Amino acid sequence: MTVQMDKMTQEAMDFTRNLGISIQNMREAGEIDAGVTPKTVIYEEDKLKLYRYQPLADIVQNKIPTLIVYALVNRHYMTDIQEDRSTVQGLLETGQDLYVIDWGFPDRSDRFLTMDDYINGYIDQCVEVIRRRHKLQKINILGICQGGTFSLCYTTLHADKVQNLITMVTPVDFHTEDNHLTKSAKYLDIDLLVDTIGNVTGDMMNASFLAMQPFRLMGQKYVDAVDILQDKNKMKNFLRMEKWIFDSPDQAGETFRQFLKDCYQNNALVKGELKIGGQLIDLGTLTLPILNIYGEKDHLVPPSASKALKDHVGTRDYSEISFNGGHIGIYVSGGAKKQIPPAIGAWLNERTAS
Amino acid sequence: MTANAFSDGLASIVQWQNQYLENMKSLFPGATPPRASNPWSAMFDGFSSGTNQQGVANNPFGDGLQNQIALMMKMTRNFTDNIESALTAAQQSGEQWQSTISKSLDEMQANFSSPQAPGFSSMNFSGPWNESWMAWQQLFNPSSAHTSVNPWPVNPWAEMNPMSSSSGFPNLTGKWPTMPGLGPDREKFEKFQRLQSLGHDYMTASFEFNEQYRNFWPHIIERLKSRIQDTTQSSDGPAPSARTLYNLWIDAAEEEYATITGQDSYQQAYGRMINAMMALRQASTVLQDDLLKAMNIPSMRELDTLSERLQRTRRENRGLRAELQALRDEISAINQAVSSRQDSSTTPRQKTSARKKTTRTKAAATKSV
Repeated sequence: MTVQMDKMTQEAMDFTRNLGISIQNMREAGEIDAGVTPKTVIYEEDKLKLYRYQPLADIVQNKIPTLIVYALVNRHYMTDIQEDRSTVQGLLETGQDLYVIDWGFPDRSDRFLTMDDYINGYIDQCVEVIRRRHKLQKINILGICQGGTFSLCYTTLHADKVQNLITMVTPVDFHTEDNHLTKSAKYLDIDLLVDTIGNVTGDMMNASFLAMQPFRLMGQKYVDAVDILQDKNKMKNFLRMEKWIFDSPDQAGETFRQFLKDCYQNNALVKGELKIGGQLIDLGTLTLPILNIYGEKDHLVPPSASKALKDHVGTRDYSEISFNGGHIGIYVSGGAKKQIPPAIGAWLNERTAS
Repeated sequence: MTANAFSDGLASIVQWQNQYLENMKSLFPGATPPRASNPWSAMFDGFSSGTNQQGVANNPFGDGLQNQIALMMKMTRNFTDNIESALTAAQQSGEQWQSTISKSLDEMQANFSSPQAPGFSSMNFSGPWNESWMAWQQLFNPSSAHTSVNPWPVNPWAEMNPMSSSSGFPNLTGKWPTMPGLGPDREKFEKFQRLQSLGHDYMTASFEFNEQYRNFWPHIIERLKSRIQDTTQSSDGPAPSARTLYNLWIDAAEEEYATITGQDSYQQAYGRMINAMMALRQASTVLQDDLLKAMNIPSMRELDTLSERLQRTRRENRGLRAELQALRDEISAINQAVSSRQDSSTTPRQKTSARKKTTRTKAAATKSV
């Protein structure tokens, strides 16, 4: 007889105990905060807000500020989710002067916002505001995920305004074999979809992301959570992540249309066929320093999709950082905090000094 | 009571869900321990009720997603219930746990392989999309006299269940009039006929999509058996914990899911289903807009027209703003150049003369205006 009832009983008892504590902790959780670093609104336009993070007083500042361009999917505070796991904090510690765009929550009236409006409109306006504030010709840009793709387009069109470009978990080649999002979008009639529903809701996008690994993301994750919810700090971390995952703005219909059709379905960015505001995006014209960071276990933007950038840009100053983690872990894991912000800071500081 | 497609649709989800759960339970007759004795069950019960947030029931798509999570919790509960029961049974019977589990999995596999098995539609990852469609169906509920756009006294959509299983979806031929309409309502009638056709297309596409998962559960169980064997190696080793078995089940399910969804045939079926549903929704929006127009409420079409015009104006403003700024910069640069040239080359007397000249120029400009 090899069934160990004492082991099973112990497992059940442990689980019951953890569950009880977890439930009690959840009851006392209170408000779940996210986005911990103090920041000030510098500029507002429509639903967009441009924030400047409060620089650290006792650290020598990099003279060239950096604008973080986050994706239109979910919210920018992923980079600043909590004090001990904040990419923003880590970058401030290296002396970076940081700005971030909060895109807000587009509604039906924003349905006709195009990639041109985002790139040549909002991003350019934010860059202008920062350039004027600092009386600089050029600033640094750090683009994240879809925001990275937008940043590449922006820098191609406005090379005279960007000193250094950092891309994080950014899709460039959308047709690599391991890109499951591309596969799921392959046969969708995007025109019909956008014409029918207008903006693509955050829930719809979440459904697509969760459907990548439904058993893990909708089942196992919550079972595993019982192990950590008994610890109040870990519980807060878990709930912050949960908040971030489901705090999902809708995506403006016309932007979704172009991004899905041109990038996901036609891979126009690497083919040199993507047009923004009537202008072709030629990545080969990018000759500024570029740092490209990707997650080795990223299931949303596989490494191959990001690493392709190297083969398409014209710069001689191209660097890569490979992080042993996923799309989200690259911002919120303890390992990421130690590796990524110091590396970005050092890379920027070296190029600013020269 | 009049049929309501929305509630009927939801009812059918619950029905399938229950069928699946009963199916699982039937594999372990009499062995299910009292629920209170299994802390996993208590957790999943609590979680399911927690995730069923009635207060936010105004978002059909979000609710669909929430239901998927709740359903996943119930499946998990059921799985752990059964695993625990099997292990308990093994202890009571003196049989080795491997053979008890293996026997249970064999039965489960056979059960899921039968034509009557709920298959993937019990999980139904197209659920969030379907529920969105179901919410929209409320428009066709003839009992909602003031809001229904349905010209018929019955709801033809009530019998359309996108969760249709392997038995196929109902044949709806003859349910609607197919001849051309006459008179003032002719055009409206045609719109409904188009809806009828699109509804049928959607049902077909939805059925084909669910068919992709015909062998989903049997394959998962096959993978699970193999994983259990790999994990335990020795046949007389100690039984793994319920949690370990659960994790193996998740691994097996994800592997099988990835295999299916990675296939081009799956992507095509998925694309056809979403496209068919969008076509249906788009056609329904036309009727919805007609209804809103009749009620003197702005329609989505009108709002879109306004939004598009507004966006075009904003884009023009952006261009004009940029031009204005460029002109300002240019003027500022010219002024600076003039000023510095004057500073470096003019005497005080000349400056006075220049000022007079400027004043004359301004006066002339004023006249010409």
